[in-house]
Amino acid sequence: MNGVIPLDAVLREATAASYRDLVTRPTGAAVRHRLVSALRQHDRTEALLDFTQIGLVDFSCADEVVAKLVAALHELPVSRIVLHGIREDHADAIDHALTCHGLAVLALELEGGHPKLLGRVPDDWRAVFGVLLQVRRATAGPIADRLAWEVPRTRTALDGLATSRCILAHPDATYELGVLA
Amino acid sequence: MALLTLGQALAELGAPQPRLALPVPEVASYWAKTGFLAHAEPYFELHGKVPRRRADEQSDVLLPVTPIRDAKDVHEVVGQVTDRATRILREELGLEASVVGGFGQSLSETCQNVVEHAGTGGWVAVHVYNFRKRLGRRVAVIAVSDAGIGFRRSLEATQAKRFGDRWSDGLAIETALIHGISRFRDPGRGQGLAGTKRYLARWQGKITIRSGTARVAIVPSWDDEPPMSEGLAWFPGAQVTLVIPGKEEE
Repeated sequence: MNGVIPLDAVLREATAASYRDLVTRPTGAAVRHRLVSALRQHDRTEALLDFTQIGLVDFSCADEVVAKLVAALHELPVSRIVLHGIREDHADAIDHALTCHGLAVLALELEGGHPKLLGRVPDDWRAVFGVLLQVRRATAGPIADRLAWEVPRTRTALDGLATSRCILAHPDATYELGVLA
Repeated sequence: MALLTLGQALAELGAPQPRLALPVPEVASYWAKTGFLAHAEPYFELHGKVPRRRADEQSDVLLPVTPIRDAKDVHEVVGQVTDRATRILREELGLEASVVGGFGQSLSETCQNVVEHAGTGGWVAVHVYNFRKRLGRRVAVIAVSDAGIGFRRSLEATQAKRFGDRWSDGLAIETALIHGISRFRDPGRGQGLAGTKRYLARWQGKITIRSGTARVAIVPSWDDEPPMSEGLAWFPGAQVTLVIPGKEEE
C-alpha cells in the first residue's frame, strides 16, 4: 500500500500557520516529527512526500525534513520515501543537505514527473539508474550488457541504490524504480 | 543597517541614547523610504526634520528594513519578499527562476543566522542597486545585521583552542565562512552558509561578513575588495552582505 503525504498540509498543521515555505530549522524539525508520526501510524510500503504546493525550501529545512528523515528510515515501517513535485530550487537544497550526510533519495520532478537521484550518488549508481529508467525492471545482466560492464560491478551499483532505497530489489534478482516512479 | 545595529547595541548596553543628525533631505527621505527612520527612533535622538515617507511599492526596495527576532520573522520575510521580488528579479534583473529560488534560500539562511547564533535580534533589508562602474549591471543586495555576540564569541568554545594566540575576529569569520564550521556538532549544521556560498559562486555573487574588527569576503572576479581586512573599527555582532548580479546584457 502506498501513501501520498501532502507536505503543505503537514506544514500548516505543524506550524498552525498558513505558511507555504519550508524554511528554518524549527519549522523543519516540527514537520519531520509530524511526518515520522504519520509514517509510524500508517505502515505503508512506500511513502510519497508531495512538494507540489510548497514554495521555497531552504538548506536548513531540507536538512531537517528530508536528510534527517531519510537517515531515520530504518526505524520506520516504510520501505522507502520518494519525493514528488520537486522544483529545480527544491532539488538544489535537498541535494546539498543529503550530500552532507552521505545519503541519497529518489525524486520526481514537478514538470513531467521525471525521476532523478538527489544526494551523494556515485557515478556507477547514476549510470545503472539511467539504464533502469529505460528498461523499468531487469536483473543485473541486461543492465551490464547495455553499459558494457562486468555483471559484478553492475550488481554492486544496483545493490547500492537498493540499500539507499532509491530503487527496489526483488527476490527474483530483478531491480526496478517501483510503482511510485 | 550598521547604524541601526550600533544603536541597538548601545541600547542593550544601557548606554545613553546617542544623537543622530539627519543628513540632507534627499538622503533622509531615502532613509525614511527604506524603513530605517521608523526603526531608528527608539535608539537615537533624531535631530533634523524627519520625513514621513512610507515604503514605496514602485521603488528598488525589495524589502524595507525589517526586524528579525525569531523563526516566525524569517517565515514572514521570505513570504513577504517572494512575489514582488520574484517579479523584479526576473523582469528587471533578467534572472531565471532557479536563480530567484536560490535568492530566497540565501535570504532565509542569512536571516536564520541571527536567530540561531546572535543571541539578540537583528535586521534585514533587500534592495536593488545599479553597479554601473564596478560591474555594469544591476544587482540585488541582501543586508543582514545583528548586535549579537559575533562570530568570534560564537565559535570560541569549540574553535579558539586550535588557533591559540592567533584566534581573532578574522579567523573566526574565516572558520565559519571559508571552512563551513559551525558551533554545533550536528553534521547538518553549517549548511546554510555553505549552500549560500555555493549559490553565490554559481552566479558570480559576493558575500561579505563583518564582525568585531574584521571583514572577510569571497570576492568574484568583477570586484577587487581584499578577501580579509583586519584592524577595522569594532562592530558589534555581525553584518552579512550578499550581492547577486543581474544577467549580463547581450
